[in-house]
Amino acid sequence: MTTREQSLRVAVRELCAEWDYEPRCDAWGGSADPEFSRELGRRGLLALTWPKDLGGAAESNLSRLAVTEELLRAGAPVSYHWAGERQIGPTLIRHGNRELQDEFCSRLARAEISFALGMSEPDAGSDLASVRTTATRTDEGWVIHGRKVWTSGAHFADYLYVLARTSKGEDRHAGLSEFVVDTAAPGVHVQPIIGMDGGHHFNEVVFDEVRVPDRWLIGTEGHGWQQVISQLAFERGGPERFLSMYPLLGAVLDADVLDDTDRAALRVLTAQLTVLRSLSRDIATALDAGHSPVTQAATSKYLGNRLELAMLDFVRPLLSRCDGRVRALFDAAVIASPKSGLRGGAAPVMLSIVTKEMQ
Amino acid sequence: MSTTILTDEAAQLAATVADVVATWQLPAAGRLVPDAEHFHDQWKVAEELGWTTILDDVDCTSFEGLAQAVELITAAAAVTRALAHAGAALPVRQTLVARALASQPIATGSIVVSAHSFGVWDPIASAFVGADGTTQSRAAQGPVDRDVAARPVHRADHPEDLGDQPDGVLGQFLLVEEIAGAAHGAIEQARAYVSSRVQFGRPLIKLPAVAQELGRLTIAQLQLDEAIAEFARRLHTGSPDRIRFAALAARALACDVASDVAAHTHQLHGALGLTADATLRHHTLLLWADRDEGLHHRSWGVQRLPTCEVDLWSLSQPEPAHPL
Repeated sequence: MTTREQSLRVAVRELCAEWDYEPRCDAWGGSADPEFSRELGRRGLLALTWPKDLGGAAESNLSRLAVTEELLRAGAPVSYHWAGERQIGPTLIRHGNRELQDEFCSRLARAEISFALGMSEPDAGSDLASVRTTATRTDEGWVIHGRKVWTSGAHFADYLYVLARTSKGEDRHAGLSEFVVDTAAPGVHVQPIIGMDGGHHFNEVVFDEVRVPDRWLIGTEGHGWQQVISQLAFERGGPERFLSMYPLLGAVLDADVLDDTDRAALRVLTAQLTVLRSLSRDIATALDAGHSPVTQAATSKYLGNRLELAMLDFVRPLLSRCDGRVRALFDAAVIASPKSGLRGGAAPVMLSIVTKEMQ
Repeated sequence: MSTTILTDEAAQLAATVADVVATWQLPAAGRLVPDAEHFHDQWKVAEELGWTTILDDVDCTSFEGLAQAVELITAAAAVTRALAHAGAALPVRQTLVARALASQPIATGSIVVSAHSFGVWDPIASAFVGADGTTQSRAAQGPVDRDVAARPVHRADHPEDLGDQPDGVLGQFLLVEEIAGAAHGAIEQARAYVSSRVQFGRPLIKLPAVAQELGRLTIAQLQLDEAIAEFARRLHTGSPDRIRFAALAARALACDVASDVAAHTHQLHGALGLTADATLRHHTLLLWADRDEGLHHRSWGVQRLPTCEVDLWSLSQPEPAHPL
């Protein structure tokens, strides 16, 4: 680990120690704390990889990994800035024009605004090529019509990223484009989808003839598929794919309730964690080298979900020896576990990506 | 994706091993490996090509000594992996470790073992190197026991902490490399089989369930390779606790992957893979044998596991890539 990575880790630990919050599993998919995200921005802990003139620090993905790992380890309230900092900013920087970058990136880097991702649709699931939401060009820009589902955080987001069909042809992958949409624009209707825990994380978003200025088209019209694929390494390859349940494992270890049999079961679990942290470092290094490690990211996502499920199996028989705080973390982790497996693509999708590489 | 760290020289050595072994006739099914017609000739080739003496000048009595010899250890690992990849079960790994441990030179050509062989090849070894580096000559023993890979074995209960010492760590490193090589070979065979075998009117690999199973095994292999790469990176550091933990992690995953790959490559081969003619057995029998080598207690390795979250975080922190 470099000195810089170490200092970033210390900075995150200091902020988390100062902040008044309850550590939680699945923190990046949970409740938002805009002030926490803004404090991260003030301390230079957001948008580390972005160019300096767009509010970033022009640092490496390894630096960003150090920050992200420590935030997830601490179960810190990060959901307000998550999608914007992880995915939207890098997408705008990679594909957006300068006007679009100037309009959004610095504000995202300071966590002044929040984004939600509008990709999945009611009848499309993970099959993004089946997108039916349309964007039609007009004299003033674009008009978007359609529906998105499973849009996490749309109820507090200021803007939406939307994948829409801008032309129809035989190739399902062609004719898709990416847009920024203001959640306050006329015709945007955000409706809650209440989760099985009774909580409000997901939403359905209806776009009823929503007008979008031309400058909010991200990248090239019709190139949305290629652009979105290049984002997947950002979305799937991060440590959130295996550290979302980590606060539970940490709490159980600190509860000092393991006997020798339990500790033997910890062997493979800790080995998997070590491998995934190593893999995550490889992915960050590949991103720094300008690669898009899609297969590695799919591998990490697949193994990460397996580790998270294994953590639950490990902790389950220990619960009677643990206090209420651990039990609460466990309950939250169990409820989050199906979501954890699905977002970013379910396990069979990840396997098919790896399998394609082999054939 | 990171795999085992290989220098150009080590990669070249691995390619040479693969070329040489490709022409070898491997033992017939059910026969004790050293009784096979070509065993002694093959052992002689390994010795003449220098595969068994790579670690002769390595000080494996300290972690600093291992850190200074990483290039040689990498070369030894490349040979070990390449042999297993080809399905060849020779006592190269065991001899490499024993010769590194020996305080006095040992004549080449001998099969040499140490406690880190866990009794495997012990009955036909001509020398045994003790923990203090002293070498004892051995007379050939009478009827011998065998492990599941038909290697001769002398069964004994070994100290649980044998792998904690630097020489034990070296032994563990080569063992997990052997498992990774055998797993890779088994998966390649399965892929070749399902790509060529036509059932239900098309190659088996065109069935989604078959393709996905192969994908799952490939991911398991990648996971093990990543654990070994991390183990290799830590050998540079001379940091005992982190090295021991990486050794434990790699071994734990190697056990899982060995069972998984052996079981499921046979599933993919169907009944044809169970025959004496099928070459898959050279890999899967080695996987099953290596998987259990030296693990006689349910609690193996637990003393090297973290006891609190801070230690877990620190021990699982990956080592930056080291420029060889």
